[in-house]
Amino acid sequence: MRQGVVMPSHLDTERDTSPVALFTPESPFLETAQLSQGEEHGEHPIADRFWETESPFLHDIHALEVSSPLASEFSELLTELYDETFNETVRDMAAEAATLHAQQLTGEFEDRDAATARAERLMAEHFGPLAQMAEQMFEQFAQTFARYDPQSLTEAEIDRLAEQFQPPVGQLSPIFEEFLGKLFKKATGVLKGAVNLVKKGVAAVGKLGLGPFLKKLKGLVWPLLKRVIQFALNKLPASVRPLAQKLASKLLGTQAEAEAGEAAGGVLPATATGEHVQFEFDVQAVQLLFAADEAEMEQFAAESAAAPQQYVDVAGDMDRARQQLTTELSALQQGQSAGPAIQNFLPAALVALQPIAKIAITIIGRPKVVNFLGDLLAKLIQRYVGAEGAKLLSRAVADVGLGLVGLEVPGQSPQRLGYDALAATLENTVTNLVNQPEYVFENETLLEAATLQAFEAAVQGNFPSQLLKPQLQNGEPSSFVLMPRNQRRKYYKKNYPVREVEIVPAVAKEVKTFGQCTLEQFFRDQLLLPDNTTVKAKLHIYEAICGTWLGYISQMETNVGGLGGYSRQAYYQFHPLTPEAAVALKVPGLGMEVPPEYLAGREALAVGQRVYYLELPGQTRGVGSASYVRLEIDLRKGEIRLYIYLSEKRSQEIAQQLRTSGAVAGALQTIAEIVGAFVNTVRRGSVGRAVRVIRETLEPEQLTLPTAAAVIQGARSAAGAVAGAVRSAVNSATNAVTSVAATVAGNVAGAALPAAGGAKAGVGSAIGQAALEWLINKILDWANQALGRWLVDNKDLFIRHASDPSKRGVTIIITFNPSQDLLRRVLLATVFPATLAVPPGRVELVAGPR
Amino acid sequence: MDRDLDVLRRQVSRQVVHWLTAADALSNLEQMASAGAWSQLERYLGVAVRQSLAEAVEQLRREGAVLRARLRACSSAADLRSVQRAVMAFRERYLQTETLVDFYGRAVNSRTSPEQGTILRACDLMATRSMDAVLAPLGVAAPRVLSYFERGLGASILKAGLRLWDGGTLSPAAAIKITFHNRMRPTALIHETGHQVAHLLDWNTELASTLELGLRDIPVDLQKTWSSWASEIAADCFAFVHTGFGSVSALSDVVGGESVFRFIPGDPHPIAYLRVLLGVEMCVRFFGAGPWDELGKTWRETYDVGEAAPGVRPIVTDSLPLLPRIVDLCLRTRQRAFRGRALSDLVDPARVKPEALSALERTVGTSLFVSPPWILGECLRLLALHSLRFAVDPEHGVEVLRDQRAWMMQLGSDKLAA
Repeated sequence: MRQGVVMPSHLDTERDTSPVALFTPESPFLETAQLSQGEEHGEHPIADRFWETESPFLHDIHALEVSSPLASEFSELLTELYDETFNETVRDMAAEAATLHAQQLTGEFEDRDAATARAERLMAEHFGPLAQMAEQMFEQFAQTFARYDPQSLTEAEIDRLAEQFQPPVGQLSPIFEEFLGKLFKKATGVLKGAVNLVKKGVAAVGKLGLGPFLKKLKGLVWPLLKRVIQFALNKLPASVRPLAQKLASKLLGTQAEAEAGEAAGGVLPATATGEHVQFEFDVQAVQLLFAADEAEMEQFAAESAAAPQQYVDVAGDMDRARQQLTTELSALQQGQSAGPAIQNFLPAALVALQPIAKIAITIIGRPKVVNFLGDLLAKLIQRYVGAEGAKLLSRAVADVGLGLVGLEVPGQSPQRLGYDALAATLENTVTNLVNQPEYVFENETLLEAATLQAFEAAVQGNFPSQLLKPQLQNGEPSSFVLMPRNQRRKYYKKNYPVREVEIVPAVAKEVKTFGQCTLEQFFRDQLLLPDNTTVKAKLHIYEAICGTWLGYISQMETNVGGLGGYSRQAYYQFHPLTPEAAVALKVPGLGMEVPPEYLAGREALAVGQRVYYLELPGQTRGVGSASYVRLEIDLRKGEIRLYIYLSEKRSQEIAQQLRTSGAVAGALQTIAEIVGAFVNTVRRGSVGRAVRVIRETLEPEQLTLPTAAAVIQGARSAAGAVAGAVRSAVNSATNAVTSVAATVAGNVAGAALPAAGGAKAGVGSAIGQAALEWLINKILDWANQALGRWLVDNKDLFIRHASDPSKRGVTIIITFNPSQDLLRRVLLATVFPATLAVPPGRVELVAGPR
Repeated sequence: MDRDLDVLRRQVSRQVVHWLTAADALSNLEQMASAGAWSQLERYLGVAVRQSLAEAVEQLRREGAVLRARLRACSSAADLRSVQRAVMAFRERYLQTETLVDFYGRAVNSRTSPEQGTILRACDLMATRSMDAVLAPLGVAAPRVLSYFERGLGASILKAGLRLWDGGTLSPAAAIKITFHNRMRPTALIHETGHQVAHLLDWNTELASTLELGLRDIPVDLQKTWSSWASEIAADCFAFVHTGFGSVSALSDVVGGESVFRFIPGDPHPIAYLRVLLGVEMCVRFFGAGPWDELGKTWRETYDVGEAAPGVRPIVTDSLPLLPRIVDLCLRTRQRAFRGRALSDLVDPARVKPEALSALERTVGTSLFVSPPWILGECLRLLALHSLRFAVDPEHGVEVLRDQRAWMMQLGSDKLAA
């Protein structure tokens, strides 16, 4: 395949006599580094990849058996406490803190420990007032509720009594107030849970009273905020650790063991989603209620307080490794080898990536491997080492349009762009390599082949395309550049030149964005553009590196209209540049395939994932919420709940139709369109949190903080983690052990459809998918039948809720109550009754999203 | 001799340093407008304005650098005298650039508070929407708009794309002055965007010809007079098709008074008396009978044509019967500027007829004033509706303005859609 390349027969520690020196690996660069205008499109190296997600359905009848009542209560309470919007608030709060103190946080410190200490001190000061208010709120709760007998309290009384402690308005920043509001909700939720448990004779709180319990709860506030602080500093919990060890053995009869998370689909997650912040608090709060007596409650509290707080700074470490590499590369003279610089970089980069990439530590410690890779890569980049090479590279980058946009920063050498491109290429090579199985690193031939492949992909992503061989070029000359240019710390890459793009409605209809939306829906529902608008915009393309969060890109792109802030409104305007989107936007070759879960929402990106932003002239509004459908299959209650959220735009359209003509056909058509988008998303496999199975059993995952990799992708939330159980159930039922990916986050069971092009999903997954599709179609069918009549009878209700000025949009909630037996049999894919019809138990309408 | 040269060099050097330092200081845009005011601009607009000003100042500084180099190279008194003359020229250039920076600085600085900023952002948006309605179907991009508050009676516009005071810089945005008194009745904003649209489409010249041609049966002097008012009439028509009677009513409040019969040959503004009645006639021709009839009646009764200067009186009296024809010429005649369509084809005034506005309110309900899609999609009709309400129900004018402020605050909010 690679003619002219002599494979080394073995690895040698002696660099001078290394066989690597005897051959010249084939490079992806043009032999003569001239700027060319090649037209051929290179085949994308990962175009053939496929992604699998896991079926949410149970294939083992035993998995449906109800666990112990205590465990079930625990699981139920965690489920009720979990609040998706809490995560959003945490992200916003962390982003605000990081932004407000950006200057101090990015200051240059020689001593890393001193810098960390200073950053933490700053953050502690920032969050101090919030902590004070939150603790005060819990203290007030404790003093008030200590006077009441939990046996006699009702939920309504709890709400009434708690009302007086609603966080005051105007004393803290809006985001702090929002957070306090969420914490207030959690506090009342825990209280209600406590009272319910007392009434069932479960909780020791019955004997102790609510006062001591709430005081312990207050003790969890600062640890919670400390997690927010670490998250704001882009740091993650270092390793797997049990959160409620004692309780786990009590409830599950075994020591809780976390299942190691794996990077989904062989890609690395770019940053954390912040869900672990809430997850840990919930578990710690709820376990207090399961203490047998005061001593045990004290023990649980102490266990929570003493939980080791080791954090890793993956993105920061990677950035420092890259900076060091850039410095060393820029010191090289023409003709000097970059080998030593790369050999210094590799261990640093691998150590940085280890928490999220599961690299065997033994590999890092092997000088032979490092030296081999160093020499190999040094040869590959040799032409661009030294001032002249870097200048050539810089000029090529500038040629694609950088000079025009002022990215050449005063004080930086003209070669800087070139060195950055080299460093980014080497970094990318490493991130492409790290998910290789360990045996690859054991065999020099395999390692070389894998390295060349990883390098080629990295070069394509980081070098100006006019320096590549024609078969590797992707359309017009362009280049990705590490950003922001005026900061040492880099947060993302941007592609230049920025292009003009025209998107006609027919194309917008076909291009999917994150979640269940198409571009057409985004334009109409979220940007509020008139229907059938042909959009002319500037197309800005970005790529995620370690540590990239869309909010950072949005915040740092200050010269791009509509961006410049980290708010959801700003970063919700990014879209995934999948290969399909890239073709539609006429930038073929720039699209990047990622596992479907990275298309479900905007919270988590994969390293290397590409996104785009459309800058519309004069379009400066932030975006509103998109319409969506959610499905909850609640095994505890034997209930199926379908949530159809109609965006403000859609609900207003429907309300107007109902007011003027009274006909519901238009409304049903709108709903059908939204439901259709949901079904398509299910097929794509990026349904994310839109399908949720709430289990009736407690899983070890619910009590254990997952690996850093899983934290990054989205912690297994407290609300009934099904993934582990499903995996084992599927495996035991079908023996299809190898192919079921273990990537579903928490309670959210990603619906799996084998991706087109030959997925090798396991038998169990395929059966689960069939059941899922069958069930979804049935539910939607039942819903459709019910909705027509319901809308006719409830026009006024719809109009009233759509007019609620305090809420945006409306949600129709349709609840079905199939018999438990039927639900189980369907989920086990043992029965698909053709004529089955389950009328909705109830249809409700609420203002705003649910 | 050397001593004299040194003395002269010091004098020239002082002048050079003075003006160069002054030019350097212009580059600090935060000194011209506060950081808070800059932050109240939509980012895309702020970037464009800053970039434009920065380029203008940079050009000036480059010229300054040349001047400095020339000073360094001076070896004779003649050289120094030449530089001295160049300093004077540079001073002029400085003053031109300073005027430019100062103008935009003051415009930006009128966003003194978040509330002012929000209202002005709403104005920017309405202005853009009004232009888009005509320009987008013709495939022409609407320019950016920077509206600002200033004292005075009437609004004004510095059109986008014009060459500015320094002779080199093109205005980066249509800068529209809104007077303080009209803050909550900004129909004049749409009159001003009418000027911008007419400029971009070269409609003024065509409308002047249309008027001349359409009125060819009247005395040439009167014909020429009407055609000389084409640019202002064009803007009035633009405001009318977007905001209906509200714009006419607001206009009457601004131009009424002692000068209603003032006629200045060459002034593009029609005689105010006729201008308001032309607006009333637009309502009559497009809407039929309505509250504008009262305005017309009162207007005629308040201002006696007999009080007009003898030279002006015939212009007024002879023009009155022409008003229906003039309305049709302006609004219903196909124009090249509009690719063979009439203005009322592109923006149908029937959409802002009182009945249509009532129907909008009735079918949408209260959501019209609080729901982002409605506020954004119908902001111009909301402006028309509130201007109409203010005109016909001034007893509740305070409430109307309060409501107007409420939806404009939403429209200008950066969280509109959230």
